[in-house]
Amino acid sequence: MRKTTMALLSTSAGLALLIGAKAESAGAPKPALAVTSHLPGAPSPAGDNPTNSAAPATGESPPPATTPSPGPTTATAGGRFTGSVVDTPYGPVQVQAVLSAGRLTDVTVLQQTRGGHSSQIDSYALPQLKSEALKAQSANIDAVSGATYTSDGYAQSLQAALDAAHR
Amino acid sequence: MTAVRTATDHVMGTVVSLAAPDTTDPAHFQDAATAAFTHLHHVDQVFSPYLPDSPISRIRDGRLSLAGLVHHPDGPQIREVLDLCERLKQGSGGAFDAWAVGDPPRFDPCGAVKGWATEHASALAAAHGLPRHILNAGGDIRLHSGNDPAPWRVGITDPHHPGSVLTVLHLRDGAVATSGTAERGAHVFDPRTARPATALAQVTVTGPDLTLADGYATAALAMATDPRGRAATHAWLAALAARAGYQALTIDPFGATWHTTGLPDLLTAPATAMPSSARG
Repeated sequence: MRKTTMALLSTSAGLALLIGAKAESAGAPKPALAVTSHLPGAPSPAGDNPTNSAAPATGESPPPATTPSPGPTTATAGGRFTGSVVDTPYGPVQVQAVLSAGRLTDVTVLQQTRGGHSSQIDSYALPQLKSEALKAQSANIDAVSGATYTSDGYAQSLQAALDAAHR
Repeated sequence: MTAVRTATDHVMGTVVSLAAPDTTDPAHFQDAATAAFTHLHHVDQVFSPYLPDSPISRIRDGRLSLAGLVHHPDGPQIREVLDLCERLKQGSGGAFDAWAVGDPPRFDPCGAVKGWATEHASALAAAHGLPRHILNAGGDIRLHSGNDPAPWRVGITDPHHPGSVLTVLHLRDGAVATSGTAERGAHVFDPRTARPATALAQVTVTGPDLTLADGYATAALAMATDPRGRAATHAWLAALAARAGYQALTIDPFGATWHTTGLPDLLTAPATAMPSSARG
């Protein structure tokens, strides 16, 4: 009886050690998380690519130096274009557009109100439109149609990000 | 996204963006941009209700009579816009009424002018050597493709997720107009109730002509203030699609979307078009 208990205890200790070892080797993503959490507050430099920093989470070794990155190309503009924080009827919003070689590759909302209208949307959207919307997040878009922005509002618009990419 | 060269200008209280293929001769492009933007600035001077001495301000407070337009240098243009406003008022059952805008109601044709002016500016750009271009006046778009079979891809903003698009339309020639409350609040008033139009958050109308598409989108947003507004507006837009071929997409304040039956045809690229990625 007592022997059995001892055996179980030592097994647990062994498991703890194994978990500890895993935890140790999985420590690498921490800097990546830190980078991500800083994004909403501080403007990130153009070309900053926090997803690359998170690469160790998927492998045992650090990422090779040749990890593909949307680095600057000579032909057209690339990088992250961060808008200023705008107060909207749905709360403060800040948008970041990611352009690679002049193409809109991603749009991230850095600040958005929790709950309220925004969280209700997806359950109502038609599946067809929803899938189009998901594709459009990484789609090539030539222009954006929306409620008329003011001269000031233009600076935060997607159209402004597209125009900036072609200057 | 087609590789393009672009020009932008601040006019009519917004920003207008012109884009054409980057193979366009830079001098041609500049000429066309100047022609289009000059037209928009001129229209702004004539039709702005914010300039106290613009012809529109003088019509509004009775200093310029409609009979006096015959002798006015901008008379023909003003007459054209007044006729357009009248047609839109009739066509929308009074929901779009340039003679009863805001509270207190007064004459303001702005809801019709921007689309009309942009339609003309785009024609000028085409005539000045840009057979393929896209002109975006603060979110209302007129585009041409010339002989290029590839469509332009126009994203429709999601009013509930700023910075995201709801869907993408593929168009070779035509217009996309969107009216909504996201950028400037509830600025469209239903003249029949003097209440802000809020039953729909956004209305997009697409068809051949931006003058009409813009007017229809504005009218639909105004129409939606009625107690039975949403259903009535959708019935009106469906009839419009059947009658005139203008397709529509709406989204309500809670995120529910609705579209005319012909809209899905525009969501995918025509078979003749090369995928954008294949063209680099």
